[in-house]
Amino acid sequence: MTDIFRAGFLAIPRQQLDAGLSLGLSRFQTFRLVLLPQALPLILPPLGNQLINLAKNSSLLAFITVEELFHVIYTGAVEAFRPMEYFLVGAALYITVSLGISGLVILFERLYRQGCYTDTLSRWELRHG
Amino acid sequence: MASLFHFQDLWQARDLLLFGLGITVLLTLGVIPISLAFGICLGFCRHEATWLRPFATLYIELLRSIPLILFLVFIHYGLLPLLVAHPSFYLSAFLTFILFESAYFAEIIRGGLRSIHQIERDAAISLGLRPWQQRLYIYLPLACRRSLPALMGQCVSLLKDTSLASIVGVIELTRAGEIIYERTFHDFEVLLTLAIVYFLLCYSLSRISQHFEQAAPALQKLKFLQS
Repeated sequence: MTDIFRAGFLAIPRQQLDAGLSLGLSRFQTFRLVLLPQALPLILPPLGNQLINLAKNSSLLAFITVEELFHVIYTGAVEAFRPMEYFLVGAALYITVSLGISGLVILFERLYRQGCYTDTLSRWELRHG
Repeated sequence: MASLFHFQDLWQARDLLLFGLGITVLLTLGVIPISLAFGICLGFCRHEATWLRPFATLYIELLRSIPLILFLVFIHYGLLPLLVAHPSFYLSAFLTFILFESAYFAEIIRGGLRSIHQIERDAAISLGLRPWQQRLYIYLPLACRRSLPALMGQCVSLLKDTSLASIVGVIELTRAGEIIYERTFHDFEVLLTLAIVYFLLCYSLSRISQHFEQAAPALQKLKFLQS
């Protein structure tokens, strides 16, 4: 995740930071108002990928007997002796989770493109100066 | 005898560890070429607007959103017993990794194909190459070279993923270590050794990939591009 954020912020030219500072913004304000809005569209897609990976890798917790989805499915399949049915349902559930995450990422990207993030920022700035 | 660490048990069981190491390396080296070939086909299928595209897309997206461990037990306990009477766990692990990795390889290759510029496409056409020649001699080498870091990264993660094959009973490196510490109760020493071995394997693989990346421009000097 650190690498994703690093790549996103490295893609913004240094002059943007200088420009923000020269406008009299503090470092935090520059980060929030100038750098973050530009880095966000670069960060979102790989971040979504990473989240999906995390959701899938949570199945490995079954090895140390954490009661997560894969563990429940596996023990269920073993107890009922019906591997095909249990694993197909499990696969469908995992696919739903992945599709949900990628749908969320697409939704966020669309909201961002419609200017929701920058709108909120400017409204917040107007209210709190 | 009251020493803190007990590596001598590990040394006594070195044959088992070496066997596991061999299986891990063989599994990785066996899976990479086949799944790469399959992945290249899939990548081309998904990249180009043919009737195969929806099928390739479905296959890639399905396999990429299922955890490997679930796919492994599905193949071993669910699917293969329907086809073969008593499937060997080596067969099911091999099959699983090939099917699973080919989806990832396909996506990486597709990324490389997408990076091919219209100018390069036009150049390939103006050379008078047939469509399959364009793909084989122009698009494929370009795509492979551009996605080489990602491909090698996938190979490294394949090497680490082979440790999951232990769940269906394949005695590879992780399972071999497990057998040793279940017998001797010295889990810390065994797991530390396994971590070091995996690190050495993955690090050498990534060093090889760096070597390839530096050597990649030499690919331009291949005969068929000169003539």
